[in-house]
Formats: sequence, C-alpha cells, structure tokens
Amino acid sequence: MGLVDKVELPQPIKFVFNWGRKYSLWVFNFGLACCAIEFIATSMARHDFIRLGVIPFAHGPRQADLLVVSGTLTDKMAPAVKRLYDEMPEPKYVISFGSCSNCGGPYWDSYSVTKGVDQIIPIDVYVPGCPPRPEALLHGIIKLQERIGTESLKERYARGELEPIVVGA
Amino acid sequence: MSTEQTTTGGNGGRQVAAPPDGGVAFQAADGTGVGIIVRDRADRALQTQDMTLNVGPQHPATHGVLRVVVTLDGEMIESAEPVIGYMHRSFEKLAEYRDYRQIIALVNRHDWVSSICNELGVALVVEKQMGLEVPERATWIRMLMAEWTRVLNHLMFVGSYPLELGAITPMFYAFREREEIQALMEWITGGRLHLTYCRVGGLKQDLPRGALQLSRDLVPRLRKRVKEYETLVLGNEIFAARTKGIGVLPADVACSYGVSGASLHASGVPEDARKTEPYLFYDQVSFDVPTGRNGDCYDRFAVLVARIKESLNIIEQVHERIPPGPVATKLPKVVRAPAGHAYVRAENPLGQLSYYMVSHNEKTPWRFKMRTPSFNNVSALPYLLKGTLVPDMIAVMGSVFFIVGDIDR
Amino acid sequence: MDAAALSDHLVAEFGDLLEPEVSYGLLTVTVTPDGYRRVAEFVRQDRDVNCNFFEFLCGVDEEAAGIAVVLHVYSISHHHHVQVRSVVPRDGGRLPTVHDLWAGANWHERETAELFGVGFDGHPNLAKLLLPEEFEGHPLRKEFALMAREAKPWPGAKEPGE
Repeated sequence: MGLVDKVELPQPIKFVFNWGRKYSLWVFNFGLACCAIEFIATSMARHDFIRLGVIPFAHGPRQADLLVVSGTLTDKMAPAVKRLYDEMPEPKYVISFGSCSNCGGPYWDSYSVTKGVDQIIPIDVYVPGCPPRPEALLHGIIKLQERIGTESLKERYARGELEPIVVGA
Repeated sequence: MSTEQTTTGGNGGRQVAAPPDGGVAFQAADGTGVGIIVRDRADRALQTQDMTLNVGPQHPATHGVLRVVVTLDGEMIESAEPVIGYMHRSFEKLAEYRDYRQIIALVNRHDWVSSICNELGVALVVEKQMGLEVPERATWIRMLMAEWTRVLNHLMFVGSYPLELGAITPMFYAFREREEIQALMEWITGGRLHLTYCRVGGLKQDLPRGALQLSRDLVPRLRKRVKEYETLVLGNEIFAARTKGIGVLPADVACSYGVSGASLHASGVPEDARKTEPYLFYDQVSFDVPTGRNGDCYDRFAVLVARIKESLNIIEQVHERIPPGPVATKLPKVVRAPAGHAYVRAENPLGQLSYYMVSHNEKTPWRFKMRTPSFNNVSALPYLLKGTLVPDMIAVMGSVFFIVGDIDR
Repeated sequence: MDAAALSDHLVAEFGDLLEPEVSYGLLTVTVTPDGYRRVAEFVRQDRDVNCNFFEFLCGVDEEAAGIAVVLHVYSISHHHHVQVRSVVPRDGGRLPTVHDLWAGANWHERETAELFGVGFDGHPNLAKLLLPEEFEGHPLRKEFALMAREAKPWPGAKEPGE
C-alpha cells in the first residue's frame, strides 16, 4: 500500500484519492433473496446506479470494492458470506440492503435464519425496507459516498485487525 | 500399463468393474471418482479421473443461492446433485405461529417475483375452510392482478435466461417492461414487489380511479414488445443452437417428478390448474395453454413467451367483466377455521402451487404445507443434467425456471 | 372420477385396510404403515386410478397419535387427486419409500425425514436436504420451540389472532 496507510495525506490529495475511490465502486453481486430483484432493478435502465459510479457485475469478490448483501441470510449460507467478505481486498464497504439482512426481518423467529448479517461482517450502511425501493438504495449509496469522501485511509488501516465476530456464541 | 495390474500409478486405487465399452476402471484410494484407462492413438494408456466441481452457492448464473455439485468426466457431466437449503427460512413453522391473516404477508415472499399468486392461494384455502363467500368484484380484480403478476414473473425469466446464455440486451428490455407494470401495481396496491393485496375474504382496498385505464393502455404496449422478444431472442440462431435439443424432459419423467408449469407444458402435457380445476373465474374467460413438442430448453422458453401473450388475452377479457360492488366480506374479530384439512391448487407462474392446511380450530393453523413448484422442478435436475456438457449445464439450469425461495421456502 | 366414486373403488379393492374420508372435495385414505406400500402401488398402477403426477409428501404432527405422513398424488388422465395418509409412532416411526413409483418423492421424503424424524426404508440417501448438517432436532415437531419467541416476547401490540 506504500505510504497511504502510514501517512495522513494532505487535504487536496486526499480529496482527489477519495473522489476517485467513491465514484468507481465495483459492486459484488451478492443477491440472496427478494431484495436482489430490487437490486437488479436499481442497476437497470430506470434507476441506473452506474451514473453514481457504482459498477455492477464485478467478476468476483477479489475484484470488488462494495458488497451489497440483499436478502435473508440463513445459518447454512453464513460461512459462505464470511468467506466471500474475507476474499475482498481492502478498502471494502458493505451495504446491508433490506430488513432481512439488517436484523432478520419478517423471519425474526425462524430457526434457520441469521438475525442480521452484521453478526458476521461489519456493515457501513443499513438500508431498511421490505424490500426497499430502488431510490432507497440510491440514497444509501450516496450516503456511503459522502462518508468515503471524507475518509482518512490512515485511520482506517490504523484500526488494525477487526475483532472477529463469533456466530452463535 | 498392462491390465493385470491392480493399482493405478500414483493414487493407489483398486480395480473396479470394467466399463461397457472396454478399458479398465480404477477407483482412487480415497473413494472419490473413478479413473478410466483409455488408449490414445499410439495405443498408450492415458489415465483419466473424474473431477468434482462445485457450482455455487454464490454464482452469477444460478439465480440465487443454489449449489450444484457436479462430477465431470472432461466436459461431460456424469452426475449432478443440487444442494439446497441456503434460503430455508422455515415458512411452514413460522405459519404455525401466525394468525390466518398474518400468513398472507409472510407467504408472498417465497416465490418473490409473483407475490399476488402466492397470497391468492392462502386466501383461497382459508376461505374454503371457513366457507366464506368472496364478492364477485374482488374475484375479478384478483384475477386481473394474478395475471399481471404472471406477466411480471415471466418477464423476469425472459430477461435473465438470455443473460445466462450471453445476451445482455433482453435483460434491459424485460426490466423496462417490468418497471411499467410495477408502476401499475404501485398505483393499485402501494407496493412494488411484495404487494400483500389479497385478504381473507377479498381484497385490501378497491381499485383507485384511473387504474383500470392504465391497465387497458398497458396491454397493447406490452403486446408489441413481446413480439420484439420473439424476433430478438427466439429468432436468434445462436440462442437456437444453444437451446434446441438440450435438456430434453420426457413427459412421463416430468409427471413422475412432479414438474409443472412451463416445463411440463413444453414436454407436451397441457396440465394447467386454471383449465382442469378452474378457481376464481377462469372458466369464464377463454385462453389457450401453449404446449411444446420436444421438451427441450428452446420449447420451455418459447412456452414462457407464449404464456405472456395468453395472460394479456385474459387481462383484456377481465377488463370488461369487473362489476361494481364491495371488495371484501366482513370478517369476525377472531378468525378461526373449523377443524379439518383443506387443499387448494393454484397455477403459479412457475408451476403448480398447492396449499394444504390442517386446522385444529385454533387462531393459528396447525400445519401449513406449501407445495411449491420449484422444489419439484429442481428435483428433476439430476435427471436433466446427466450426460450434458458444462456450457449446456447453464442452459438447462436456467430453463427449468425456478426461484430459490420457492425451493427452500 | 369424483371423490365419492374413487373412494368406493379403493374400498372395493382394499376393504377394511383403509379408511376413506372426503373433505372439501378431496379424498384422503388412512392406512396403517403396513398397508401403505400396497395402497401406493395400487394408486399408481391401477388403470382407473392411474395417479402418475406426484404432488407432495409431507408430515403432520398429530401429537399423541403420532406423526401422520400424507402422500398426495394426482392423475393427469383422470383429473382426480388422492391423498394416502399413514400415522407412524413418534419415536422410530418408519415407512417404506415410494421413490421408485414417483421420482419426485425422493426429495420430499428427505425433507420429511429431517423435519419430522420419520424414517423411510429403501430410500437411497436420507441426508439432510434443507437444514445445515450440524442442525440438531426435528424442527416441525410441535415440541421444537422457536428460540427467538422464547427469548423475547412478541414485539407486536397484540398476539397473533387477537
């Protein structure tokens, strides 16, 4: 990573770096359930999110910056999400799209559903709804981009190893 | 390598029964795969071994979290086993803890692109068990919404199936249509995807002013666009080459697996619940059930496109038949279905959806079984995928038209 | 054939072995686990019944009486439905498999086995289908409580049904 994680960049360079990063987010298609349909609708012609700089169809987690978890996470699928999240290179961002991935949603009392994907991976933006409108996803992306715009990469990497989250313990 | 040896070079296997076309077969020491000794042109022995490939659970082409474990001999699939359960949200257990009316909001999420058709089945089975009379206006409007939902569902697959085969344009066209129909759905019900419009005893609310005219204006626009799909996709020679003759499902095998919907119709069996056991007022409108001849992927897709046209025919007929009147019967404060069991069969866009409900005269159902079409359709995948090549696997899996939430419930 | 005629046809063949019941237009015949396979074969192979379309096979928890396994099939040629129902004991209940008569029964029996704990003799592979492998218990039985509801009271204003 060179100097970026060790040195606090001066404001003009930081502005340009962050501007480049926030308007070229490759999003990893992690559509699980119904919210994936609204995610696809957001990527299609009417509510296009490419105009915001979010590019769909990343070829794999290793070439992605943004993970949008849309849909219900079950206990059987949880290890796969963790593995795919770990495969993404830093700096990476996660949007939890829909109430199932926020907190379990309408299946809050199910025996096989993980109550919220934040039990497994850290989340940056929560978009509520069942399913949220495409405009809500666009709003969430804009909020995320505002946050990336003022982000300091040195602070991000100085946080060190993120604490592991143990599912079910 | 002489055939008298009993171990393979390297992985310490043991000899097993010879394959029918000659050669010697060895099984690897850890029990995985069977290696076949083949002879190349210079009559030297080449040893091959089957490879186990895991497709999914996250994969751009599997429509969601379906995992298929395939055993490959080169590019040919010897066996394929779908592993499901990654979207198991236990609808049947959750339904036992919810009131009869609350199940509707839960159940429109298992086949998540056809929400009204799912809710309709629940409303019908509860009304059947309670002996409720639904007003005529509500039944006609339910039919209208169910057929629009059928068009929505089929458009989803008309867009995503060519995408899996490499054609990106139909996806954008299909979603353009979907957005227009979803605008109509939002005008009527307030929701885009999960509508929760049916209620036990009728509907949530009446059609707003202008909705019927919007629906009337939408039908000819859609008809023109469906013609575009036929020429763009079905007439494309690459699409035809990739799907004709692939994944043939004979009619008797389809019935034995319980495959229903477009896949069954493409195999030549015109079994449609709207015709054989008409519910709502399907016996008062005229429509055809398109069937195919060969049961291959091309036929399944062609049947899907033809079904959209038939649904548009039904919608046009329903427009003229909606009478004025109330849209819901008054329910008692506590809804209890009498003890017993009832069964309702509906034609979901993906196939045949049945609800079997057992009630012990309590406020919540005792057992609520959902027989979903995709569960049976996908259980036929091991039969369909045996002997196909890997690129054809994507064509076959996409042509079965399933939704993962429908499989796992 | 309509449900009543079908019921008579089955009773004529099997007599006291099965108890027919017609509820909301649907015929359900209840047999003992021993007679289940014979009735299933007849329903599949007899010319007048000819139920070749497999709908579903599920379990229903009947508490003290046991677990009822319901097999629902349909005939494409005659347009009638038949449900074959058999009650097995709660512990160690077993039924013969019907996956050779209808291929779709393979997955349905696997699902019933993991959700209810009913065994199927002759089934090639009764591994877990929907649940993760490390899952313990049979969730659709009535004694399996939903932990989320035990740990936290229902957050809505009224109980379901009020």
